[in-house]
Amino acid sequence: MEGMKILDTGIAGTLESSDVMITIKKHSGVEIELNSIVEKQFGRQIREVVRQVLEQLGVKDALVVVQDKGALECVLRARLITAVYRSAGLAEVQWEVFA
Amino acid sequence: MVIRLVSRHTQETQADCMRVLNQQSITWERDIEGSIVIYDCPEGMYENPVATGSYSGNVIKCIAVSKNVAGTGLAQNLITELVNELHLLGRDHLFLFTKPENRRIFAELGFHPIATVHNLVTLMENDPRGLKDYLRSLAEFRIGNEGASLSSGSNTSLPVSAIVVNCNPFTLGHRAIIGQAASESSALYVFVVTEDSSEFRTEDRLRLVRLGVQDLGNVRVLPAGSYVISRQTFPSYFLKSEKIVQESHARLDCTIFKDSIAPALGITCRYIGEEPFCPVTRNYNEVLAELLPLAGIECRIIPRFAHAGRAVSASDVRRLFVMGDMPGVRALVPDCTYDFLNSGAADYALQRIFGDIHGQQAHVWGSD
Repeated sequence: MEGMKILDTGIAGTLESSDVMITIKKHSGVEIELNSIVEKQFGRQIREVVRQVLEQLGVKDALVVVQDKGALECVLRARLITAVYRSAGLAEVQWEVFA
Repeated sequence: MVIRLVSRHTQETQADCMRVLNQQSITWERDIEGSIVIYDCPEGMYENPVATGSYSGNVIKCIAVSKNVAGTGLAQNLITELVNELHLLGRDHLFLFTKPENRRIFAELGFHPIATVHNLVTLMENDPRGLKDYLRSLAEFRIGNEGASLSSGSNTSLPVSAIVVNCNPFTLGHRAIIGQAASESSALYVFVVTEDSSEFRTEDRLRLVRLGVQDLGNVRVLPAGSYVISRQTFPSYFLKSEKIVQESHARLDCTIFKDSIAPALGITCRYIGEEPFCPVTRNYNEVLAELLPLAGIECRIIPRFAHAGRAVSASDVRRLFVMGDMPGVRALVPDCTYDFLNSGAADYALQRIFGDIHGQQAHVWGSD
């Protein structure tokens, strides 16, 4: 699929325990700002997942701020995908990309 | 728990917020636009408020959680709701005021400290790079970055100085102060306040200062942005607030200047225009004169430039302008300002000036 373009700031998620709040902004290149209560244990893995999802969506330019409260990986993926779609101004998620 | 978004306050919703705030000795601020209130009651009603947080512009403040529900994570609900609501309003770069002892709570909710005034207040922002990017943008204005650009007559034993001005609009008084400061400094950075709460637009104020000092080779004019006398760092400058709030905001603004901005540009001296009229500015000046020298930054106070025995003030220029007394304006402003005021392009400001003279403006920037 054609890469998605970040047009606006997008937010998804909450700051509650076991969730994650993702903020995506326009940027040149991909950069991740991670702040997690389990950074020491899972920081590397979280960044890996974020990069992987962005790659699947073809996002090449974005600043991703991840405020993690111990979210499971599936939650992280879901929040991130939602945030990307919101910031790209799209409503319909093309789930087949992730199949 | 019932979470309620209040985007326009009534007496009743404000009373709910104040009930929670009072427990923490936090005062309600009059510029609050909206709030989140959490009630400890069954769904469908609004009784027993236990937590609240409010916003004004892109600033989150007046946050409080009742002691009997502390530690149950209500702060995360407040911040989640506030961030989402402000996002819908198109505000994503958020600032947050809190007590220094609560810094850690908000650090875990994505806010990064900008500056703290001991025992009084901490200012934070949700953009991990906000202040850093700002300081980097300042560095682009740095004199000397272009190599040996300083004129040969420059004297490196003179200080690198800064002055903050509003210039609403630019007068001969501003020009005189900037001229004197430039002659006593190796380099001078003129920060023009970019908060759009003055009668003249920021872009016009900035342009006139640039035009008016372009003959001074060691002067750079730059937009002050969010971190110098803005609604973020110094909200009480723009409204009538209690003395203690003003004092802590003045100290906060001063702390950001001495700890972050001055080092970024190598500033060792700050010039202040003497303030005979406005108590808020006078108090700010006193705070600067007290705190900056402790950080090794000299503070020089320059008296007002007088014309015909009267200190030149921008408010006089505005008054004369609105009365159509162009010869009167002529005597108080440099050519660039006169041409602008005389061109018709500045007429948009007439309405605003008129409103301020006849209305009760909270704080008309005293002087500048």
